[in-house]
Amino acid sequence: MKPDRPPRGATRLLAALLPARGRDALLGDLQEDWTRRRASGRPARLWYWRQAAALAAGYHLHRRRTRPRPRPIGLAADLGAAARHAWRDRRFSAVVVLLLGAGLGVTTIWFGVLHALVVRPLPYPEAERLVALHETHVASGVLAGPASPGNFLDWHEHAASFESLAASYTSEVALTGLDPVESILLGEVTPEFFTALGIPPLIGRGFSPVEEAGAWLDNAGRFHGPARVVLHESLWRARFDADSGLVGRTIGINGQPAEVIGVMPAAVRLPSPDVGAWVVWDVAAGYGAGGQEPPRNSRFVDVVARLAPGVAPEAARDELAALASRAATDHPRTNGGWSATSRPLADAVTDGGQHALGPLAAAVSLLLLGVATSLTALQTARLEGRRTELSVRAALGAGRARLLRQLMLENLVLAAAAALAGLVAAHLAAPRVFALLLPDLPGAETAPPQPWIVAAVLAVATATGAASVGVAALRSRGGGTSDPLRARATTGRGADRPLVVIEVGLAVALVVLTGLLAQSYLRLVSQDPGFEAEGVLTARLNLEAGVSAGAASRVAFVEQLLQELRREPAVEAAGGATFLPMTRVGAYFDRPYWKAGQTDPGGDAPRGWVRIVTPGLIEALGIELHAGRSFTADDRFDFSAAERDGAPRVAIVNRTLAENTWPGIDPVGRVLVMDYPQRVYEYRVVGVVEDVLPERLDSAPPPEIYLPYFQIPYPGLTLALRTRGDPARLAPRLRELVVAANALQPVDRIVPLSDALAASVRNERLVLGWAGAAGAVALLLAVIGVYGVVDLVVRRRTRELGIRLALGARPAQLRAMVLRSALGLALSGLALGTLLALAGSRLVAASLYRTAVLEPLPLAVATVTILAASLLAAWGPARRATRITPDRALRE
Amino acid sequence: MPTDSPLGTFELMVLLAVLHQGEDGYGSSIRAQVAAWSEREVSRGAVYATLDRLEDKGLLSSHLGESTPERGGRAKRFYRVSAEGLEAVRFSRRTLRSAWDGVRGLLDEA
Repeated sequence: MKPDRPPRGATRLLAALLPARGRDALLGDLQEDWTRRRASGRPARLWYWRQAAALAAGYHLHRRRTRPRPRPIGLAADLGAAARHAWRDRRFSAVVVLLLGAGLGVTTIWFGVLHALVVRPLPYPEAERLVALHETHVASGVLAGPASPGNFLDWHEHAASFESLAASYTSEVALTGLDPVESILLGEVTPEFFTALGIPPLIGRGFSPVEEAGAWLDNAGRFHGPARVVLHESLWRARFDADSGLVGRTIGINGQPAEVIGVMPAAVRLPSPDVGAWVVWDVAAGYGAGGQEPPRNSRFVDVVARLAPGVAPEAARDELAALASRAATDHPRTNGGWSATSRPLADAVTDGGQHALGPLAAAVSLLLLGVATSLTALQTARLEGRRTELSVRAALGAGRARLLRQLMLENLVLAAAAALAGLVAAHLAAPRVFALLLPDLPGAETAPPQPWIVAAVLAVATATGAASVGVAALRSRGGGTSDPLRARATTGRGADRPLVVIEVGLAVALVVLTGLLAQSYLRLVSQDPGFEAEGVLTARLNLEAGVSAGAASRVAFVEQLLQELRREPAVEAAGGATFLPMTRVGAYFDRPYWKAGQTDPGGDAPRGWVRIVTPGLIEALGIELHAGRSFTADDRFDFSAAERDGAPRVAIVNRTLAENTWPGIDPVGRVLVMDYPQRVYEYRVVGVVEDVLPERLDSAPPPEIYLPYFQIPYPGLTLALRTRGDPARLAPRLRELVVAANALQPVDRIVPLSDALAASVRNERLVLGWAGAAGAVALLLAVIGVYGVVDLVVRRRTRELGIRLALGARPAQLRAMVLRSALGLALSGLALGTLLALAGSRLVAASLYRTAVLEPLPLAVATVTILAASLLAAWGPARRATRITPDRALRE
Repeated sequence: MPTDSPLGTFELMVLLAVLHQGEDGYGSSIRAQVAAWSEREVSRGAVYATLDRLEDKGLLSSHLGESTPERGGRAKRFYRVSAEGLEAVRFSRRTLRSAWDGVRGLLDEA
């Protein structure tokens, strides 16, 4: 049905753009024409829009052009003139806006990083009142460790400094009932968790201590008490289509129904950024069901708390220390030597990104300085070119101050445009930059541009622009005469040399910085991690979900699966472990240990990381066996028997543990004692393997104990398959085999191990990339600068050079002269750059791995690069110098 | 008597168009008339801006006519040349004629 009115949007727009006078009649005329046009059958809608646009534009243009208007004087006038001037000289303006805009874009992103890391906003209300609680054991270097359930309950009951206190840890469960079955990370939290955070749910409700009393999830993934779950917004959108009717319905978790009671907004990223859902963990009920006390010496929970109103953080810390000290006295075996403390939640959450600050600060500052220097050079050159115009204006009565103001305003206009460009570019690039550079940072990439960042960028833009104009104006003050001829003769004599030296210096500093980071990175990745990551495919199995609960069936399933996998022609070796080195996937925990015969050191015992592995894992990862043997299929318990019958408990230790515990002795055959919450267990050492680095290439290997999977069949297992050829190609076949073994078994995170290795150095790689890019840009600016100066020198001295040629100088001599002047620039810049690099060394030192600040190689590389670049830049002008014919030179 | 500032070409065209239209001249019709003479598209905005200016100078007068549903209920503004306007046109004709005199031969037009 055709509308009986012209497009309302266009009419409204037009009405807004036209002055009140005559508007009505005008709109009426237009509508009349529109009606007529429609009646004649021609397309009227688009025509109307075009007419409206033309009308608005034409009206205003026409009025302005012809109506005599009083010329405004003062700031408004100058600003307008400045804008017009910038528009007229479009090429220069474009260069300035691009150059400054690029620098500002980088600066904006840098401010964003600062905001995320230093200002550290957390998405929770009054986030500064939120703290993370830790247990500490100074003697073994644990400064901010996880807490134990027993100690947490202690704090919950007795600590008055907190209005709410909650513990959390993560486990993996399967979302059954969906196709395909998916493994998600589950946050098991005590009921006050969401209350402490203070953030309201998107829909539904959070947990309540009353409603969810007695609820907990056992180690086999079975619910006890009310089975209720809160979903994370991202999971709700991804797998449940953001269905708001989901609240009150049940979903399948590990094959059991759980009622969805609410959805939390995506901003909540505790206890882990990857958390998919939360369930309640009633600590007392959970352990009470097994007739146990919540353990004090099994430390694996994260604790978050909200300070009570009026309580200072220091007071809370003191109270915690007092409580811990009392616990140490009352329970010396489990708590001896342990204390407790708290720190702002923001600190705990941003632990990862601090290392990027130093090098980024250095790179950004240098780049900005380089941009400012280039701008100054540009402004100086332009000022020279405008000398005529400016002197005419001076002659017409504009005071010096007014001229300067004019220049400043022009610059302000450009700076504003550049700031806008930089902000927009940064805003567009920020999500990708943050996702790449600081992936552990909570929600940083979705943060809108902060007001303070916008203000800061504008300030930097203005300051940079003003400084460049100011310096340029100061430097041309000497030649500022009203005689354009005389002025032209004096320009360029060394006018730009200091600036170019600075540019070269900055480039040198950035190249040195890049070199240092590169060296550090290379040293990092050449670290031997203790295993062979290439050619290994990994996959995560959550055995609770698919396999019927029970140790025997888990062992049977895994054993059969591994046998099938080993039969594949592409598989050289296959095994599984609770967690693999260099990945954070899986269950890793450490237990105190000591050698048999020693008295129980209690809280002071050294702690070893426990990795439960199947036979074949050590071979699959290529970990070197130093002594004894690896696990075999005989290292198992017979679970079908009522009594835990079978082989004695065995263990394999790594070299560090062996050397620490039995220095100089063969540990094979010795007995190791490990402390578990309920009792101690003894293990006979059957082998010693090489150390593997657990998490980061720059960490020292801890003592590690390997236990046989067929004796302790943990529900979570990561497979490791050494393949012939590309490991990724085996992925589909692996999935087939798992499904064939048990159709309901979810298997996910099928990735080559080398990916994990690369991911662990991702930050370093990116910082290196940033510095390299900045260095390349600075180098380019420096080359342009050198070229400009040398070129100018040649032009200015054409006459002199021509005379020399006429007097018999050889062209090669002239070329050498020019190149020498370029070298002079380069060397000055080199000196300056080295000083800069030294001065900024402190910023970078913390991020370097086994690399000092004054490494010879980066300095040498920087030197060679700069010298080569300068010679390259000077080559053109040098050649031109040799082509000067005497007669042409004399004529100039 | 002559007005303070001389009539621009476009202003003159618009005035003449208004004259041609007699009592019925309004925005669109004036524009169409000028377009017909100049054999090209005429900017709507320019026409209205000029009409406003001429009215400011007192060379035109306007009155509102009836509103019709075709116009969305808006009144129609009709323009008429005032006495001053007529005088300005006459003056322009005199000026231009003097300027054109003598050139016709050079132009060699019909």
